[in-house]
This record gives sequence, structure tokens and C-alpha cells, in this order.
Amino acid sequence: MTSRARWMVLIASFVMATAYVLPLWRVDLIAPQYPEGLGMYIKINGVEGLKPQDLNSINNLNHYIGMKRIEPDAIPELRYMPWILAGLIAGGLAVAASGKRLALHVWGGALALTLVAGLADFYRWGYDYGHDLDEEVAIIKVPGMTYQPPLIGSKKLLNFRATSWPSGGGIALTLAAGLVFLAVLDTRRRALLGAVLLTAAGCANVPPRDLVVNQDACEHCKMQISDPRFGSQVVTTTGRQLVFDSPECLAEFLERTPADKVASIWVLDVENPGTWVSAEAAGYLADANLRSPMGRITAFASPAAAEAARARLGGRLIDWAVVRGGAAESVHGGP
Amino acid sequence: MRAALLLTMLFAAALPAQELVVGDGAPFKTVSAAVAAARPGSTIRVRPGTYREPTIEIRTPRLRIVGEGWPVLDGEGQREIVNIRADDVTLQGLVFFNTGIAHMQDRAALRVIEAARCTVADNRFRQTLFAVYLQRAVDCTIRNNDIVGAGGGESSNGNGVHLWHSTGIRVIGNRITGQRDGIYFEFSRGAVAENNRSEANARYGLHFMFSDSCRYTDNAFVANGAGVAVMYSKGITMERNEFRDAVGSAAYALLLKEITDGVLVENKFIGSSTGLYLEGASRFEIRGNEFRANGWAVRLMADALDNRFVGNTFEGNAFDVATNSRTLRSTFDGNWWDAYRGYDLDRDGRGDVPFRPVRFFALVVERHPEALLMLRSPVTTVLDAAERVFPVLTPPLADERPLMRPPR
Repeated sequence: MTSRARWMVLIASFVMATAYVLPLWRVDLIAPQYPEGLGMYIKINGVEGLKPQDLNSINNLNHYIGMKRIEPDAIPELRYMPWILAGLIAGGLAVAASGKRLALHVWGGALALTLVAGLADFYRWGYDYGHDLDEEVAIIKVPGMTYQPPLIGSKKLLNFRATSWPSGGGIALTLAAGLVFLAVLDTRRRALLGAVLLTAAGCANVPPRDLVVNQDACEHCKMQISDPRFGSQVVTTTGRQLVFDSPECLAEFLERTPADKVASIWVLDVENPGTWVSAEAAGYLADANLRSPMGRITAFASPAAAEAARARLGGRLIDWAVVRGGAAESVHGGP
Repeated sequence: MRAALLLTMLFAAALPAQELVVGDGAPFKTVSAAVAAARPGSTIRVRPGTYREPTIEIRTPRLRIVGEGWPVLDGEGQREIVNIRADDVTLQGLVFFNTGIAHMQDRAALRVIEAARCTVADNRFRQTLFAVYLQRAVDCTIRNNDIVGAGGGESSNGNGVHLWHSTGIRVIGNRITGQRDGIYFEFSRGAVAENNRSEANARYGLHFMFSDSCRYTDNAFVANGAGVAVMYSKGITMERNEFRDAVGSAAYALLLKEITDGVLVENKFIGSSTGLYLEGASRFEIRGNEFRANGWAVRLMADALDNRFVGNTFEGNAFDVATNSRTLRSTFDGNWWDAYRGYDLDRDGRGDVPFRPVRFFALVVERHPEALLMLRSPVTTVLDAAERVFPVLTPPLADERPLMRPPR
């Protein structure tokens, strides 16, 4: 497994843990006689009304059509589901810890099976409640009518509109499953994952962003950026905009970064604070009378602009290749 | 010709110390005129008033300029105020006012250029881009000055005391606020900063770049934009300083980056987002410091090697130690941790079970900062509990003999 996949599994495990606190599913019943609405939450270990009296009201309503009472204590799944989830989370932690591909596949399979089984079980309970009506008790009888609530979506039941959607916990489980799926992909075919992520981000040509002076920190040296005359920026192929306080830090960063991760490189024109210029097109002075936060290099809109400024500022005219290649000396040497 | 020059110099040296007075009704109307007339070793007394004149160029050695009743040297937003290009010059009791802003020049109220043994004491600096700028200066003393920058931050702000390629400079007892960096040592060796108070500057209270063998002690760094940064340097001694209230995502009370062989002793780190941040910082002795009420007391990156944490106090921090790696080559021995829940059966003052200061969640946050949203949530509690039972993911970093009582 890649370390990225291990992190994904780890995060998926934490995300799954939120299902202990957030409800899995939410069912709403809307009808004119209940203007404020009725509804219930299905949690991992119980069924609750949206409002304290809702479950009671729903049971009373169901009584008219002969439906069984919803008694959380009578549903055995609610007792053992928390333990199944705990097992899955522990499994996820173990997979992340071991980093074994086989473990990931076994656990991923178990997770998928559990989720499918859980949905099937939910459907079965819904079917049972909706169809198994007590003809003796029912006051309203519509021949052939069943009252199965939808698994997902909306459905008209007599004069009620029943809507059923995953809630926080259910969404979390779905997200977790998605993450695990990505982790499996990442382990199998990294290129495929890259394509998926790229498409998802939709980040073909991201422009450089403005610096937030006195708030942004240099990606390389961690210094806070406080002089907008000297900033620089890299836009990565995944659309991240990384900012630097000086051309020197930019060069150091590029030296340690694979070229295929870099989409575009930018520097600020010292004469027009806030204006980005492509690093390849810019002109540079080394050891001029203006000193960048790293002390050596000043960038201009073009080599011609740099040459023009050299009369006033002194220093040497250098080009981008030198800035980029001479990073080590320019940062650590000093005149 | 050379002999004549030498004779003149000897003659000048033999004269009694000369005193020149500048002011309304005094022999000299401007400081520049007095400076032009002064011989080496003269004293110029400047009476109260506001002096508007071109940049005062001092090329006469052993000159003393003393202000009486806070005379104001006004740069009228246009220029540098005093340049010193001679040795043994003393400036005292002056008010340097309003250099204005320059975008293509690091304009300084007082610039010392290739001079030795200057003394800049008891002056006031107001609305200056850079207040004191030492460039290739040697053995100067900058003492008890009161520096209030124009504030505002943005590009229109320079540093309070700036050293560039200077050696043996002492910066003592100054009060600096409203600048970009309060004190900045750049390419300078053997500098000392003592008893300064650097507060509410836009970036760093104190900033080191490429400056070896420097020492700073007993300073207070309070509420600066990004704290204090010591970078790309060797052999730095940091003692008894107070680092407070550096708050923000890019703020570190003290940032140590690419720096080797130093001591960090008996400092206080209080109320900051991150107390101490080490990246590429190696062979440091970190002893007897107090870390109180910070978000992260210490953030130790994987490339910080062979640092020793001994006898420090960790109290009331959200995270005591955070790191981005499972492999760490720094050690913790005999620190006091308020989160330690161990016991001391043999009563030697040391806990009998190790303390692991890196919370699992801290590791998660280090890699995925967004996860910080979940701090204090049940998930986090579950995670930390799970990790205590089954510690496979957190770094094997432990204080084997934690203190049972805070030191001191």
C-alpha cells in the first residue's frame, strides 16, 4: 500500500466513527395536519423522533392502518450494529497500521458487504412494516395498498409524503466507503487515481493567486510574507498555489520538487508590487541595492526592465536558469 | 603631501575637545553646518527645535552629537536623516522623525556605513521606514532607543534595528514597535541583543538570517505578527527571553529553521499558536523552558536532529509535541508534563512509566490541517483512546523519566 492509501484508510476509519454520534438515516413525513412535520432518525443503536414526541405520533398514525409499532428495543440489529461498526473501525486501523495490500482488500470487501447487507436489512424492515398490516386493528383499509417507506427518495403514502435520505452518519459511511475505494485504486493503479483526482479538481489552468501580505507563509522557509515586492509562486499540476517570499526560496523548492508536479512558476515584479510575471519571462538582478527576504535576488517584469533598473540599483543581471540553478549558493552564500 | 596630512591630523588630535552649539540664536543654525565645522573629537550640542536639512553626512571620527530637550531631525518624508561614515561617532538624545516611504530603496533614519565603534543611545525614532541600519559596521552599540514605526505593515514598512554584514554589534535595552521586524540580524556575526522589548511589529520581533555566533538574552517579544525567527545560522545562544502572543496560522513564537548548534535555555513561551517550531534545526540543547497555554508547545519536524529537551515545563497546551514523522532523532528526558498521569513508586521524583507527548491526533493534524476542526470532538477522544491502547501509529517518542513536579 502507498502511504497515501494508508492515510485514506485511516481517515476513512475516523470518518466511520462519526456514525456513533450522527444518525444514519432520516425519514420525514409531511402532511397538512402536521404543519411542523413529523420525522425520525435511524441511528446505529436506536430509532428516535426528530422531536421528542414524533416517534409516538408516528406510531399512533401507523396504528390507523394496522402497522406494527416501531419499538427500537425489539430490533435486534440496533444492538449488534455498534459492535460490527467497532470491528470495522478496528479493522481499518489495523489495515492502516499494517499497510498490507491483502489486508486492505479483505477489509475493503468486508466493509462493502456490510454496507450492502445493512441496506438490504433496512429495506427488509421497511418491507415488513409496510406489508405486514393487522387487518383486525386497522381503521383505514385500502385494499391492495401497502405502506412501505422508500429507502432513498420520496413517496406518497395516503395523504403523507414520506421522504427518506441518509443523514450525517450515513453520509459519513458513504464517504468512508468512497475513500476506501480510492485507497484500493491508489494501491492498484496510481495513474488511474491521478486521473480521477484531476478530473474531480477540474484544474487545468489555475492562475496564480494574490498574496495575503502578513498572513501567508513561505512554503519553503516558513517565513511570513511581509514584502509584496519579492513574492513568488508555484501552481502545481493538481491546482495548488504555493507561495514563497523570494525567488531564492522558489528556486530551493523547485530543486526538491519533481518537475512533473509543477504546472507554472511565477514571480512578482518588484516595480509593480502585486503583479505576477512568468518566472521564465522575468529578468533578475543579483546583489542589487534592494534585498529580498533571502538577501540576493530581485525580479523584474523582463530582462530589459532589470537592465534599466541596474543603473540605479547596481548588481548583476542574471537569467532564470541561473536563479533556478544557483539556488544553493544564492541562499546560503551572501556577498 | 602625505607628511603634511599626517601633521594636520596630529595637530587636530592635539587640540582640546571642541564644543559646537546648534540652535536658534546659537553659532550654528543647522546640524550639517556644525558637522562640517567640527574636528575629530568634537561635541555638537543640539538645542530644542525642529531641524529640516539635507541628509546629515558624518565623516569626522570621534564626533559626539548630543540633543538637549529632544531636538527633532525631520526627514520631511523625503530622505534619510543621518549617515555615519566615520569611526567612534556617538549620537544621543535626538528625535529622528519621518523618513517617508521609498519603494525602491531601504530608506533608514540613521544609516551607519562601514564605520566602527559607533554609539547610538537614548534616541527616539518616529515614523521611520528603517530606524537604525548598520551596513558593514563593527563593534557598535545601539542602546536604550525608543523606536515607533509607522505601523500598518504592508510594503511600506522596514525594520527597527537592521544589521547587514556587521560584526560585534550590541543591541541593548531598546523598545521597538510598529516596524516590519523589530530587530534583524542579516549576514552578521557575534551580535548581542539584550533586554530589548520588541512588540507588535508586523512580522518578527527578532529575525536572524545567516548570522552565526550571536546571543540574545532577557528580551521580551510580544504580539509580533509572526513571532521570532532564527534561520540559516550556527551557534546561537537564546536565554531567558519571553515569547508571547504570536497568534496566526503562519506564526511561531520561535521559528528555528536550518540552524545548528545552539542553546535555548530558561525561556518562556506563552499564549502562542505554536510555541517552538523546529525544522532543519539540529544539535540544540533545550533546557528549563516554560511552555504555557500554547496551541502547539513544540512542533518538531522530521529533519530536526539530535535536539535534547531537558527539564522543560509543559502546561496547558492543546498539543505538547507534534511532529510530521514516525522517525524522530530528538530526545526528551526529565521534563514536566501536565498531561502525565503516571506514578512514582520509588519516590525519586521521576515517573516510573514513560510519557508519550505526541498525541495521535496531533500527527493527523500535522498531515491534514483541516482535521483540526475535529479537536475536542468525540471522534478525537476515541482516536486518542484507541492509540493509547494500541500505539502503532504515533512516533515512538517518549520521555522515559518525566518529572513528577514542575522544575523551579
